[in-house]
Amino acid sequence: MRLALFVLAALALSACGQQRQTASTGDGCAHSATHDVMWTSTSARDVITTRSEGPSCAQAVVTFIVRNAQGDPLWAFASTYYDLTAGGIPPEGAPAVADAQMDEFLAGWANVTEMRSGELPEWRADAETLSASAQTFSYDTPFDRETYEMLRARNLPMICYAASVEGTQCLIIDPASQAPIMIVAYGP
Amino acid sequence: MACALVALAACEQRSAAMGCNISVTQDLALSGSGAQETITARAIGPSCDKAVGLYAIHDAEGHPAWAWATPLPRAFGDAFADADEEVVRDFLTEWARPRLATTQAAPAWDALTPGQTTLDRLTYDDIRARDLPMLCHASGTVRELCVFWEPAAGGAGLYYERDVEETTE
Repeated sequence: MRLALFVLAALALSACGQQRQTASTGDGCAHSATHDVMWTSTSARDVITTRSEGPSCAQAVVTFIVRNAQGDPLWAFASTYYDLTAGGIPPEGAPAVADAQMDEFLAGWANVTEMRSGELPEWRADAETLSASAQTFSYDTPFDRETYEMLRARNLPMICYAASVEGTQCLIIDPASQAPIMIVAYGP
Repeated sequence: MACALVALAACEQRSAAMGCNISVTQDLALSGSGAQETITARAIGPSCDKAVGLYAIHDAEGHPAWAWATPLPRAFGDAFADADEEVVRDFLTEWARPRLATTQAAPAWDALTPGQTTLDRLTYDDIRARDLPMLCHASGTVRELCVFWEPAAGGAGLYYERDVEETTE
């Protein structure tokens, strides 16, 4: 009887294990990293999770997800590992990507730059575009000058993350809607 | 018997800990090369009302050609406020059925409103003139984004976004 119960328990555990194995079949590059930031609240930290998945790390889709302390998703961005690290799609015979390389990439990606919107470049009144007003990088914003300058003057908490090989996107919490929005994208 | 129950309970807890992780996959002939691409629409989150949606297109060799993500409750609104697995699965099934067209169906550059495309005029016009395969998928309750297929590179890129009302025929 004791043996039968032991076998039953073993079978139950083994069935459970098989289920998990099936769920992960075909995902040879399941990695993740997290990083906490003080962005949407002054009392609770938001959590950034970067994740990879794919049959191999060279073929991985990578995601960047920001959640508040309650677990509500605030922002999500997806791309491919190759597009974010080299640009485009991998050529025939592209080298394999090691697990350690992926871990290093995900940790770096999650480690966003925390800034204030007041640190963004001024959009001068005589400049037709924000880019024409900026010195170092090429900037793009979905806002008109008046709104952009208002958001900049509010000096809001801002996080910036890599959205392409050389491109960065910066997010703020819209004071009107209380929802995350991209204030600028910039790059060379 | 208690041992078996404990084992099963542990298994149950592990399943629950997986949260909302639902995936729908559908084959697609986008590139027109005879090869079959695959669309995967996924929901990932601690619970279905807090899920992120991930939309990915893979080529026949398994290389990801396009990936896009959004917080589902934010993009698709109240439908996700009390969403359970069945609601999410139905949504993903519908989401994984994009509208196929070619880039000539896209509006001419002069008809675009600011913010509809991130491309410059030269690139936008060139892609439109080449009449490339194009796929449009929902990016919000009244919004969709269209992705073009670049046969020379074997990859996809964001072409433009538009309100869904505009596409109603």
